[in-house]
Order: sequence, then C-alpha cells, then structure tokens
Amino acid sequence: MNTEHDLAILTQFLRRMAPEIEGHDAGDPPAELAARLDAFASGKAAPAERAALAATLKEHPEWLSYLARAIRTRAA
Amino acid sequence: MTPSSATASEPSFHHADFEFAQDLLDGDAQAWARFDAELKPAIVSRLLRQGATEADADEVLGLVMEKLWAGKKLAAYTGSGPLQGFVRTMASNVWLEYLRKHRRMIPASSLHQADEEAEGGTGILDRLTEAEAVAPQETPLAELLRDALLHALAQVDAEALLIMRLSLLQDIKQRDLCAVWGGCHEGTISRKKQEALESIRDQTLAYLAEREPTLQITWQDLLEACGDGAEAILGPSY
Repeated sequence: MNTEHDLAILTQFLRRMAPEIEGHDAGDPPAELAARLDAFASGKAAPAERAALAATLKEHPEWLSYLARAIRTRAA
Repeated sequence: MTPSSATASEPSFHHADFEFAQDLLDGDAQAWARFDAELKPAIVSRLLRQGATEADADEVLGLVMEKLWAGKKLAAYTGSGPLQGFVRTMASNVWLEYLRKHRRMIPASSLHQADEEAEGGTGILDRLTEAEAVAPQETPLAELLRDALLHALAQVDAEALLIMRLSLLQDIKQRDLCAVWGGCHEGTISRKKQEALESIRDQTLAYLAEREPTLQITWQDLLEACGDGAEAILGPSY
C-alpha cells in the first residue's frame, strides 16, 4: 500500500464524485474560532485543542481553507 | 494495480492502448486476436474473482462486449488510463448492474432456462434489457464507491482526516504540518496519513461487503476503478 499514491487516487475520485468534501470556502470564520485556528496554524495549540479543532473542522469543512491560508502565511 | 509513472492527479496518455482501441474500432484482425487473448481473459478473471460463476461471467462478458461496441463505450475511451483497467472497471460496473437486476441471485444458467420457458419468447433477460433501455443507470459502481468512501471518511479519526485534507486538498507541505502539530517529527504526520488510509480502506470494504456482499471487490479493484479505470465509470476527466 502506497499511502500517498492511494490517497491521491481517492481524493481525485471524490473531487469528481463528491466535490463537497473539500468544503466550500466560507471566508473568515467567527472571530473566536478564527483566533483558535490562528493559534493552531502557528503551532501553539495543545494536543487537546488540536483534537477539538480537528473535530470542529470535520463537521465544518468550510473553515478548512481559512486554516490552510493561515498555515501558508506563517510558512512563507 | 501497478503504480503509474504519472501522478494520480495527472493521468498520463496511454498512446499504445489508445492506438489499440482505434485498431479494434477499425476491425483490425490482429487487434481482435489480441483482444481475445489478453482483454477477454482479464475481464473473465476479474468477474470470477468478484464472485461471478462461470455462467455469470459469460453472460456479463457478453454485456460488456455489447456496451463496448454497440454502446460505443470503446469509442469514448480517450487513453487516460490503461485499456485493461478501463475494460476491467467496465466489467465490474456491468457485474454490479447485473447483480442488482438479479437480486435474488438466480444463476445465469437458470435465467437461460427461464428465458426458454417463457411464453412468446419474452424471457427474463429480454425483459431486463427492455428495463435497461427505459431506465439506464450508467455508473452504479461509481455511485456505490462514492457512498462507501463518504461513509468511510465519516468514520476516520478527526485529526488524521484533517492532516489528510490539509495535505491532499490544500497542498500543505509535510514540514509545515509538523510545525502546526507542535513541531512533531515528519514520521508522526506520515503515520497519521497511514492511519487515515487504513481506516478508509477497512471501512470502505466493510461498507461494500454489507451493501453488495456478492460483489467481492478488493482494495486494488477499488483503486483501479477510482484511478486508472475511472474513465470507464466517470467518463473523460477533461
């Protein structure tokens, strides 16, 4: 099993069959959540907070793009 | 499935297979001989492995051939994946259609018998063909796999799923994910992805086994249907 390769295949398939899995970018989340995601993106979230935010993003993939942008901004 | 030299997100053009398909469409005798020697056994082998009896496999092979030529599926092949993956995935799709139409699991040989016994020559298979003409279901395999994968994604550990989404959908680099996860080692991130994939695999196959117990699809079959053979059930990706 080649993890990266297999996951890429499944991702491409689901992008065509279920585009909602990417989550529509809803812009900026509410201020309180944005602050938590910013802290997460900067590597400052404790394990329990990471788990809590991961659960939130599983239910609300529309905020995934915000987190990704925050990570990229800090990595640049 | 043999890994392709191209990445999964950038399917390569399979020139030789595309030419082979064109030769078949042109009625080239050598191409036909090669089809009989290579692709027919590949189709039958796939069907037998997925739970078909010999009689079922013969029946489904006939339906696949009909779709390839009369249904113009072969003419729609663009070479975005290997031809063998295309026809094998088509065969799995037709096998699933066949199973759903024969939900009572009547062997194909019995259907032939019932056909012969039916009055006025309108047998079960004839009636099924008529039903298909009225209500075509083009990609039941694609729909089944989508449902199975979405079910599996819902079961995946939230952190593993988030890492997978950030990596594959948002193209966040592994080293940046390490920084986000408190400066963890890259192996930790890799393990999370591996966990996610294993969970998706197990949950997907469990879902398929429950929903379609006779369709004995393997993980490799599924990857082929979602990847190299996807054109057969999703159409061209351009």
